[in-house]
Amino acid sequence: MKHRYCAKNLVERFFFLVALVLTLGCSQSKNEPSPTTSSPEKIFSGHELEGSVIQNLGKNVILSTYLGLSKSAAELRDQVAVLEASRTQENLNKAQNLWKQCRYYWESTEAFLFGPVESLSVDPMIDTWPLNRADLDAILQSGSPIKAEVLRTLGTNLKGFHTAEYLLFGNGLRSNQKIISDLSAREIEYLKAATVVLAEDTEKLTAAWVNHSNPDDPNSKSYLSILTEPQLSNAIYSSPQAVISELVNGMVGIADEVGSGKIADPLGGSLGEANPTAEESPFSWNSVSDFSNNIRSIQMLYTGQSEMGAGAGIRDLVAAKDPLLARQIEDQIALAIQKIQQISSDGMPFGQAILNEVGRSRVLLAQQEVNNLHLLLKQKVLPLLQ
Amino acid sequence: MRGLHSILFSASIGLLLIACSQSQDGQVQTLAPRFESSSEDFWTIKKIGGEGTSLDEAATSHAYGYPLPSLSLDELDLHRTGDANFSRHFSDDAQRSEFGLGPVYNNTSCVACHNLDGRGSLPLGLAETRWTKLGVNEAIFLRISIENDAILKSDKNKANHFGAPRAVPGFSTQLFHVGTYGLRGVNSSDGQAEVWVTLKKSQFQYPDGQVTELSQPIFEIRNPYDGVSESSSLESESGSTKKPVSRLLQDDVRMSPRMGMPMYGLGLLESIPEKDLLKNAAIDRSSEGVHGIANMVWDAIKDKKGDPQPVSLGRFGLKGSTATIEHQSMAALNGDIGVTNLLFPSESIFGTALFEVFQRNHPSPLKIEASDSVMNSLVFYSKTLAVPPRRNIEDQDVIRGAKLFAQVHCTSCHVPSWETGVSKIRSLAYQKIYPYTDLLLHDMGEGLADNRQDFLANGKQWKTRALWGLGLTKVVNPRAGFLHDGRALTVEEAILWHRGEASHSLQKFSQLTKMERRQLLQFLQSL
Repeated sequence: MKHRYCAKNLVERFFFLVALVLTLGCSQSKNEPSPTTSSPEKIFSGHELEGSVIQNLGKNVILSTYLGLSKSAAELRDQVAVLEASRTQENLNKAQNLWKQCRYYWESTEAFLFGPVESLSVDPMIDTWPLNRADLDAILQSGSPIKAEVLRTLGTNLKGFHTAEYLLFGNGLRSNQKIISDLSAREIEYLKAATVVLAEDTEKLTAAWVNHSNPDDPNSKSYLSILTEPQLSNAIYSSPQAVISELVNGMVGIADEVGSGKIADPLGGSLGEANPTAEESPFSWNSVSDFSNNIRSIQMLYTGQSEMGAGAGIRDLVAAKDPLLARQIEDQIALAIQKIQQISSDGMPFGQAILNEVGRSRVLLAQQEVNNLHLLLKQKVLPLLQ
Repeated sequence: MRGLHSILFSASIGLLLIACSQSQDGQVQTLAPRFESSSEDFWTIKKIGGEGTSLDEAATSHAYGYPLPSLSLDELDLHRTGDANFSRHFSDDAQRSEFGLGPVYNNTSCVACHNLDGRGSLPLGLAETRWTKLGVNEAIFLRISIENDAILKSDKNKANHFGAPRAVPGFSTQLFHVGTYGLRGVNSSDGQAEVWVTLKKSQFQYPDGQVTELSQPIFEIRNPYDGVSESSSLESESGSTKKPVSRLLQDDVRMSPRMGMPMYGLGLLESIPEKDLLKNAAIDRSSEGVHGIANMVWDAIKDKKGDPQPVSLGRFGLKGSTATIEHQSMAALNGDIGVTNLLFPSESIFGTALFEVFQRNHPSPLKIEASDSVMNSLVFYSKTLAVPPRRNIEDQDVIRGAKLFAQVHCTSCHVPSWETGVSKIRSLAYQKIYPYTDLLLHDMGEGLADNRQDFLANGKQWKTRALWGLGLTKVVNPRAGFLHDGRALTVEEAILWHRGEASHSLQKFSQLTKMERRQLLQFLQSL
C-alpha cells in the first residue's frame, strides 16, 4: 500500500507538535497554576474543567504517546540497519532497548485504543499474538529473500512486535539476553523487514491523529481535532461528556483486561493450570513492564501527567465531586503498578513466577490490586462522571 | 400529551398497515394492521432492546460490547469466555493451543472483521485510478457460487440443501484469499486466489440541486489455484497452446462481497417467533412497491437433529441465508477463519486441489479444531450482546425525523417493533423490541445487485438490515462502511443507494427539504 505520509514529514510534524505542546505547557506554568489536584482550590465551571481535561489529555497524553510510539519505532528500524552494518553486541543491546522503548509507548496507549487504531486495524498488524514460530523458523531456514514489501503481504502472525521480539531476544526459555553470535544474518534480514513494516504501521497510526483521521479522505479532520472539539456537528463526539465517557470507559476496559485476561490467562486457577504459552511478551521477559505500562496509561489519563508535564486529568473531574474518591483512585493506581512491578522483585520474569508458589502469590497480589482498581473505576468513577 | 401531528401520523401508519395478503388458497384477504394505530410511538422509546438493552448510556467505542444486563453470574462467565474467544487470534502453528487457523481463511479472529462488535471497513488506499490487492487483515470477503438455468430451476431438496448456493468446483461457496504461509509458494500468504478492488464513483443529485458523491467497490479475482490453470495447458483448434481458464474465472461463476456486520441484539432477533415474521411476509404492499419475501433456508441445527425437512426462516447474514446464530457463527468459524467444529467438521476446502497441496506438506490427521468451550462460548457471546439505548430522544429534530422516517415509508421494510417469544435466556424472552427490520428479502435494485442467488434470495434481493445502534457506528469504527460491501461512508449515502422496492421511499426522501432530510438522519443517528 502506498502511504501518504513520508517519514520526514511526520518527524517534522512531531517536532512542531512537541514545540507547540511545550510552548503551551510553559505558558501555562508561567501564567497560571496547572489545573491539577496540586491546586484543588482552583475553581472551574464544569464545562471549563471538562474542556481543560480534554485538551490536555488529547494533546499532551494521547498524541504525545502516539508520537513517542512512531518515533521509537523509527529509531528501532534505524538501529537494526546499524546492526546489520555492524554486528556487535552493543548494537544488538541498543536494538533490544529500543524494542522495549517502543513497546513501552505501545502498551501505554492501551487505555485509549479507540479511533484510528480501530479504523485502520493497526492492532492486528503490529501486535498479533501468538506469532507463528514454526513458519518463522521455516522462512529463516529457507533461502528466499525477506524484504519489507514481501513481509507486508504475509500473515499478521509473521510480523509486528512479537516477531521482532523473538528475533531480538531469542526464545526466552532460559534467558532474554541474546548474544550477538546467536544472531544469524537471516534473522537480521527478517528483523530489518519487520522493523520497517512496524515503523510504517505506527507512523500511519500517528498520522491519523495528526493529519487526517481517514488517510483516504483529505477532507477528514485529524482524530485529535475530532476528540478535542466535541460539538453537535462532530459526528463522533457530540459533547465533552461523550469524550470523558470514552476516556473513562477506556480506563475501565484496560484494567479489566490486565486483571482478567493478561494476568489471569497465563496464571490459571492453580499451579497445575498455569499456561505460560498465554504470556504475551515471553521472549523479552517484558510482560511485567507491559502490564505496568497498561496501568500507567490509566494513570496518565487520570492524573493528566505525562512526559509533556502536568495538566488536567480525569482526577480533577472526580475531585470536583468527591475529593476523597479522587485520592483513593490515585492511590489504587499507584498500588496496582507497585504490586505488578513487585512480581519481578527478585528478578524472576512473569513466565517463571507463575510456575512456583512464591511467584504466584506475588502475581495474585498484583492481580487483586488491578481488579480492585477495575472495580473502583467501574463502580465509582463511571457512575460519578456519566 | 400527544400532539396533533402525532395523531395524524398515527392514523397514516394505521392506514398503511391495513394491507392485503394472499392466503394459501389464492384468495386475497385483509389482514389486521400490524401496528395498532398509534400506540407505537416508536420515537419515544429509549430501551429499544427491551430488557436486552445495555445499561450503559454513554456513546463510546465500547457501546456495542456490553453483555445483556440480566445475565446470571454463570451466564456472564460464559459470555466473558466468549468475548475472549471472539478476540482470540487463531494460529496455524500446530504447536499452539490456539491452533486451527486455515489452511485458508479470510482473517485470523472474529473481532478482526466485526470491529469492536460493529461494522468493518473497506481496505485503505482504494481509488478509482488503481486496483488494490485485498490484504491479510481485511473485514471483507467474497461469496462465490456457480449459477445457470438448470441450477436455478432444479428442485430444492435435502441433497442440495434446499437451494443453497452451488459451490464452484474445486473451490467452495466462499473465496478464502489468505492462506497459511507457503501454501501458494515461497514468500506468500495467498489463499485460493487474489482479490483486487477498485472504486467506481458516481453522484446523486437531489431535486433541490444538492449533490452527494457515492462510491462503489468493484472486485476482481486473479490468480486462482485449482490445480489446472497453474500447471497444464490445452491445445486449441488452431494448434497453439493456451492455459485453460480456471473454473473460478468462468462465466457461470457469481461473486458477492460481504462486509463484517454488527453483533449486538442478535439473540433478540433470533427470539422473534418465526410465525410472526412470516405473517408480515404475507402482507402485500404492492401498492407501495413493497413485498417482503421470507428466505427459507437449510437449517444445519435441525438437520443435525434429524429433522426430515430441515428448513427454517433465514434471518442472519446479509441475504438471510442462515436460520440460527449457532449456524451462522460456526459457519463463520469454519469458513472465515478455517477452524473446524462439530457443526462444520470438514476443512472449508476439503477435497480441492489446494487441500491436496496442503496435505502433502502437513500430513496431520483431520480433527475437530474448536474445543467445546470455544464453540459454546462463541455462540453464547453472539446471542448475548446488548443493544445500546437510544440517545437524544426528546430532541425535537429527532422526533420530527422519526415522523418523516415513517412518512416516507421507510417503516414498510424497516418495521419498527416486534415482540420476542420464548428463550432460555431471560432478558431475550417476551420483550418488546425496536430493531427496525422485517428480516425479509426485498429487491433493492440494480445498483446494489450482486446477481447471485442465495436460497430464495435472487440477485437483487437483500435482507432488511436492523437499524438499532446505527447512530454509534462511527463512534465504534470511524471508517466503518454501510451496506453489504461497506460502500457507503455515511448513512445518507446508504439511503441514496436504495432502489427497487425502496424507490418510492427514496424519491420521497429526496423530495424532502434539506432540513427535513437532516432531521430524518438525526433520528437515525439517535438509534
